[in-house]
Amino acid sequence: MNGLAPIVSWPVMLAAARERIKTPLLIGLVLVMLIIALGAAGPNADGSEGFAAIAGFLLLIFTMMLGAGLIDEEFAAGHAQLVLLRPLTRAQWFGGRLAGAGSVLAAAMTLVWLSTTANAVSKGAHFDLARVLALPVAFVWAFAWLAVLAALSVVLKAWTNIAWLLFATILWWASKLAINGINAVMVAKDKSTDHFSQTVVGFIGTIEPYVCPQDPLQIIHTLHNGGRPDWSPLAYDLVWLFGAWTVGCVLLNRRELSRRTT
Amino acid sequence: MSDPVLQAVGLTKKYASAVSTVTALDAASFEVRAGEAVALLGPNGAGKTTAMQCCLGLLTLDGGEVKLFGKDPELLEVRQRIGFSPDAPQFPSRLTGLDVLELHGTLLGQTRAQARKKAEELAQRLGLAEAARRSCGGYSRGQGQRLGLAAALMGDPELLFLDEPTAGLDPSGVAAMRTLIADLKAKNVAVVLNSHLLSEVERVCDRALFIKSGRILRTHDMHNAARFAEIRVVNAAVVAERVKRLAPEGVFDGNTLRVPIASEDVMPGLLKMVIEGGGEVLEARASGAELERLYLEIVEPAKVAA
Repeated sequence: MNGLAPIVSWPVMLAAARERIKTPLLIGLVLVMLIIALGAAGPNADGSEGFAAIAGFLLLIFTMMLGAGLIDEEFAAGHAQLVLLRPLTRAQWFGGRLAGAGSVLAAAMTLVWLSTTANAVSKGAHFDLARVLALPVAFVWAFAWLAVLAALSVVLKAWTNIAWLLFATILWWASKLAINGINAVMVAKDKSTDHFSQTVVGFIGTIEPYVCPQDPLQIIHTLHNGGRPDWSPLAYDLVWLFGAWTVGCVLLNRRELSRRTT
Repeated sequence: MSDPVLQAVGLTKKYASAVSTVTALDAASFEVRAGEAVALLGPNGAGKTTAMQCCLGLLTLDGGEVKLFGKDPELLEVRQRIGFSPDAPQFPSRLTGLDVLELHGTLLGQTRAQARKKAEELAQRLGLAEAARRSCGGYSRGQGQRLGLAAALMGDPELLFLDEPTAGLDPSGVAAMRTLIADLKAKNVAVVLNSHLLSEVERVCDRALFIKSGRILRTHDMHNAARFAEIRVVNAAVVAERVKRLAPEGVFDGNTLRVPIASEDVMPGLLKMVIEGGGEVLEARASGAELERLYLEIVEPAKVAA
């Protein structure tokens, strides 16, 4: 653990985890996640049931709540300035905040995984490699989203990091829907397959997996069914995780620490 | 004389917005030495807090240079030796005061047990013993101020910056702050103080820097400053002749006799002189309003003229 000291401040991590873990809304959400995940745990479950479908949606909500204003709220209160006057680098502070929220995320996910695993195994499900890997694989995905939110929180005020992320997501889906619609109309009109709109649709389809962290649970399904999984979504998530972490540190190093700007 | 622990040379800071640029600090230069308490005095918006934040590296300078202990303030070894208590600090609302202090202690290299012990000691000393066990979210301004001060003291700093430390404190808190600063000075800690409470500044500081519109207008040495006795009498006319004869440097401003003095020791003699001359004394005090008078003269001359 001490090897991570240059990029993660453990006292900051502990304080960030303490703050987050005492949030009643987050505790309530973990309970809801537990109930829903337990309902999905059956004899045929492969281990991903705690993080897929509705449980997966709740996990994203939980991650967003953890990441809401993760960095900026400390600046707005003025406490970040006091902490950053201590002998630690901004990268260590950023790493500590992110790791603190990440540790709460890990604890909640572990709780969900343990409960669903116990429930599924008691109903006759196999305790195989897929089930073991479900937790770390899903965690990397959620943690990558948390890192994106943390990086956004360096430059966006309060909880607007979530608002911008949701806005970007809605814009992306709306654009995709609009382009697909335009393409369908144009193809129906002259039955041609050589349209510019089709090129755009193809392009969007190509880049879509890379514009945000990818859902890697397909790895678990494939492993459970005895196939050879495609590990690339996990690799992309790791790139997103460390990429966002790096960008967050760079942005933080450029930020003036004081609250006074005008 | 010891080397300065803080050297600020030509500090310049401008705040730019879409419509205007405000020069908050204009080539300000000053020094602070170990064991010295220096006050930054000036009206709101004079640049006092900006000067402090520039010295700490919280603001990026547009010109000039700051050295703390002869080194760049950004160096981690320098930050180990400084403390900062901001004006109206806020803390994570779900952490207790002790959690916050423990965080600052461990960041300074203390073990959790050491940090906890030190946190409890400081909380006790600053009148936060009970509140420190509660979440910071419910703190009053005064409690937040005390916690900010405790956090600043967690690492036994050699250079301490206090921005409006008495704001929001009750009278006992103000008195405790005065004692604390005196204790710190005795331990050779340098203190930079930003306060509007001139009477406190006069009692605890060695020097005052008068700032207005980002410029340091004058440095005032408290120890070499002229002091005055002010004696308010009912019947000034009765004693005026006697005062003119025995204390010719004294002047009357209405019913108040103002006499330059070297120390408070001469006060009984002055009072005796007035009483024996038939004067009825309503009030007598030494110095007191000196810094306030200087402040008005230097920083707000228009008010004095009016």
